[in-house]
Amino acid sequence: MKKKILFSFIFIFISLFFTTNVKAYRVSGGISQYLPTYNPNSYPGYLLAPDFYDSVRDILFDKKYSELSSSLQSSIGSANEYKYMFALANNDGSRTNRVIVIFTTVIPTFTYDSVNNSYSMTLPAGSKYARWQRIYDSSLNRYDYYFMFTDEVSTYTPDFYSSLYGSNAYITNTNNFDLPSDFLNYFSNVPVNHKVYLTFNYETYKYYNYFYLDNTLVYTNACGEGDLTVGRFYSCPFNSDTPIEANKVVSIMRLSQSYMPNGWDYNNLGWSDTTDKYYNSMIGGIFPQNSKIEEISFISSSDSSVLLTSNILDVQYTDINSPTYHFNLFSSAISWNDTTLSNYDLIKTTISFPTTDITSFDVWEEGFNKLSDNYIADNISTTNNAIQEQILGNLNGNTVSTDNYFNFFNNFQVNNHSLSGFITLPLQTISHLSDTCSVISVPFPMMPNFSFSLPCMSAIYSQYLGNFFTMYQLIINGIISYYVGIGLFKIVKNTHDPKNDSIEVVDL
Amino acid sequence: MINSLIGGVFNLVTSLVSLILAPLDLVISSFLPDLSNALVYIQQFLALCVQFVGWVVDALGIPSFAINLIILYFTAKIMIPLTVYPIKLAIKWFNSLKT
Repeated sequence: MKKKILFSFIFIFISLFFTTNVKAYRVSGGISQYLPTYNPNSYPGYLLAPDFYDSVRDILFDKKYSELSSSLQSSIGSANEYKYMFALANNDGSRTNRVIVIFTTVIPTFTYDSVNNSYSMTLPAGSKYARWQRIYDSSLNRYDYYFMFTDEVSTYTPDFYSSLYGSNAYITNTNNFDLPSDFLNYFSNVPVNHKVYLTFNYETYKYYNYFYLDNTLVYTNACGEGDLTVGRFYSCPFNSDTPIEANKVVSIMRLSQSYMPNGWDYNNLGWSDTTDKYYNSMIGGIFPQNSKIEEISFISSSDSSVLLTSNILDVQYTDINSPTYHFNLFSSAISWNDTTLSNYDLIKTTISFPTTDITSFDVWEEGFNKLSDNYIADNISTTNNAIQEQILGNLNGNTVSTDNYFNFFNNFQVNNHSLSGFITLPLQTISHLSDTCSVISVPFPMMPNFSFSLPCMSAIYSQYLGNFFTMYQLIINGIISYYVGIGLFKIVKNTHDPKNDSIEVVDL
Repeated sequence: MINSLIGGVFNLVTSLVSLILAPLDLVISSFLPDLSNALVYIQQFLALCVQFVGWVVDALGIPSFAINLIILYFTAKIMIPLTVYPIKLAIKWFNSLKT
């Protein structure tokens, strides 16, 4: 009896090593919060996944960086003892040399920035970009710092949330992963409603730009303001101060046909990455004298995997002696699937072009935003599901591949006459031991429209029993390990008997 | 190679079981169709029960490590004697020839 108890404890300790990974994942903060009511139509549902490395679990906020290695200090340059620094932390709370960002001042609320790669900072695994933001947590009466890591960002998406896409996007914070409600509301409401308005005042001949977040004016004059000039092309320029959607805004005005094309101001196009192309196109006489613009269209893709770097502006014009022409002003597009834009069905949004001398229009492409948001939501959903599956799988043991054992019993077939089915039933049972649990739905008798479901219990155990369930599993591991060990020992021992040539069978 | 041999042996055993039981199945299905139906229903009931094994294991909170051990045990229980027996038989023949 004492030996059995001793062996049980030994096997419990052995099994403890086998289950360390499962436990460590949670303890090290792999997942701290999951939004079970994630609605793909809302934005965004996400998991907090700060566990980028097995040995790193948290973001540590520190005012000193004197403890950094000399090499990192030298790479940072201009050593300042009291710079603010964020770094990844070890499990014991000590800081690693994986510095994410260093500030000389406290991060202002609702600001954002990208990692300065010139500091040779090490980003979490799988990520190429980091953004951060300070948000006041009203529930805790303190500021919290949020970090977003992703492997894909748009060049012109300086906004914090707008970078939340990519196949490897994470959000974490310095506040033990508790998201304040303000933050959730912020993320759930902003992307749908934020718009950019490029407005014109025809009386004063000035133009203004406004950027609204959730019906609140956030940026005034985001794209500059100035006097309207006849025949000039106005657009919101790309720069670090411009909200993401500002690049969706294009406004064109003209006074009369006689100013085209020379009346266009090529130097104020503002499309920094396409200026040359546009300029050359215009110089090439795309809009000849005496032509008349009939229609201007903005084209976006119906495929959510395509992200346009700018609007595809299609201008339809007619010449006096020519039929209708189309000219695609902006053709640059990037595709996340590495295919060209022409392969996709394009949505053409026609904008009427009034016949008055001074014409302008304000555009924000909400449909375009929705495509982008859907893509973000899909990516986050996919990432969340994968992480959830991994976590729950680790907790429940469902992701441990048992194929090597499992396939061994697959060759046993049951014929229609049932007798062999009885004989092979033990093997069938063994083969089903590693089945993934699925919810059992049982209909009520005499009530075909009603049924009750038996949920998979291990997830419930994990949620409500916590460490007790882990201890229970450890004990089960130890007991079963003990008896399996004894059984295997007996099997091997029986092979020593030279006269024993019996073949083991599994009893029914 | 070894997997093919093992798989072949087990397929042979399964086929032999089916072959041995085939006349009995034929007799039952031909002359005792009600019994045949009853056996089929029992087998279907057992198969239905087996489908819930995954849920039962999950409800008992048995970790995958233990499940793997159990499957490993039964695999070893069948495989080890099956592997050792031919070796012992060969040694036995060798000793017989030697004497």
